[in-house]
Amino acid sequence: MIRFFLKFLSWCPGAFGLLLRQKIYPCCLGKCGRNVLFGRFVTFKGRKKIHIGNSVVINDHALLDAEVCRAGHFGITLEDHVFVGSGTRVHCCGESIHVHNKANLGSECRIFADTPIVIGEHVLLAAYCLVGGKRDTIEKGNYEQQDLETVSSSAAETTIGNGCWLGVRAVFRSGVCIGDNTIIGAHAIVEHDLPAQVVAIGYPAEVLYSR
Amino acid sequence: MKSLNRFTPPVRNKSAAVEPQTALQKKLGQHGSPFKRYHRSVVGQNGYLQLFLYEIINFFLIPLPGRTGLFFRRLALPLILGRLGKKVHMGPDCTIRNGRKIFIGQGAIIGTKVTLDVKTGENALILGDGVRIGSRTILNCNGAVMEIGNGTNIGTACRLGSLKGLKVGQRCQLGEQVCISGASHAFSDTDISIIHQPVTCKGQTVIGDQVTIGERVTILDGVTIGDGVTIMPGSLVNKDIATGALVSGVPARLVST
Repeated sequence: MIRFFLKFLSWCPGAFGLLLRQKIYPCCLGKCGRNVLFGRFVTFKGRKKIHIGNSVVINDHALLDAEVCRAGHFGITLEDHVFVGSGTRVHCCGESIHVHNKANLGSECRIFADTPIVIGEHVLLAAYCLVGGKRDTIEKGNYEQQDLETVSSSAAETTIGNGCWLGVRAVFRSGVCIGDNTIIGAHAIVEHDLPAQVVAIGYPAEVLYSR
Repeated sequence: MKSLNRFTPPVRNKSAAVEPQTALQKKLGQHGSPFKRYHRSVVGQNGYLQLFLYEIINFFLIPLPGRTGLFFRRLALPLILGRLGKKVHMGPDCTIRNGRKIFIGQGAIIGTKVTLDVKTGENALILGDGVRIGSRTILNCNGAVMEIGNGTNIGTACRLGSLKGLKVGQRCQLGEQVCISGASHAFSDTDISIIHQPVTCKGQTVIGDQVTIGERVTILDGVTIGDGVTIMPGSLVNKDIATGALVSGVPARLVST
């Protein structure tokens, strides 16, 4: 019965649906602030490990998956004024994801956390970006709980600094850190760390010039 | 209703420091009450009757599956769209915003969960005759006129935007996940984060007739592509391409003419 009701909620169109979801979804989630807008067909997995701040917008067809998360980790945290575009998929493949204030995740982005991922303030991710995820993680699709215990927990953190801009279809490998206000060009693949205040393009991403 | 409208809402936090708006917030028009914002984004400058019609059709007819849904949508959608041609096949669960500025030619096929989004202002979205749009594609018209020619075929999960206009010619083939960005950000100021800097656009994006665009191609703003061009999958187009060329790579380079 509850399942049927949740299915109706995620389907419900128009202003009525927006209002219903705004009132009822916070009860299902781990923590949810005020004035949060949920689009249609938004999917949550591991609902109790998802923490959402005030005035967050989650667009249609987005997927937040915190089901496979190591014990004691926070799962997915979205701070205030975060925007999640339509069709964006956020997966915890064992580790936590922290998105800071006013970050903007574009449409059809994919985020796989097999190392802890931190996305800084005012970060702008363009459409179709891919963050994290070792190749085998993506191919396997889903991590089993037993696999998690064998994976070492000393993996490096993936960090996108404050005010960065990732271009369309940029690929960001796991364990890579980039500094504040860095721009990554469209179709670039970031495989090693980059300093702050630079523009980088290409595969692997090389510094083009300093801003 | 009129007497209600005369009330001006109390001015809040006038002395408080105004936070810089992000480009997205400006686009959404983050002022006024939530209802006003919803009204503006959904039916634009049209009145409450249009909003009521939109809500009724959006709730009961747009999610309806099967042939019944198709039949009722053909009957009712002309009420909220600018023009709907004959024999249009429109799948369920589409999102239509500011429908009076959307013009759909006859025989068009629009898949499921397509977003046709026109922002308020002097914007329009024109789909020609026999246009086919795959499911989950987003047509996002922020400014000027987005025009898609007769018989063009657009794949699934594409994203087409326009700030200073987008023109796609006749009988083009666009693959899956094609992104025509149509806008960019200024990044000259290093003190402010990029999200707060203005949106820029080099000009109108023009794509000629009978162009073939492969999967996962990105086309940046202000690019002109000639007739009969072929773009290989996974390319990034940031410069103009002459008629009849074959290009590939990041950024796209000429392979043969």
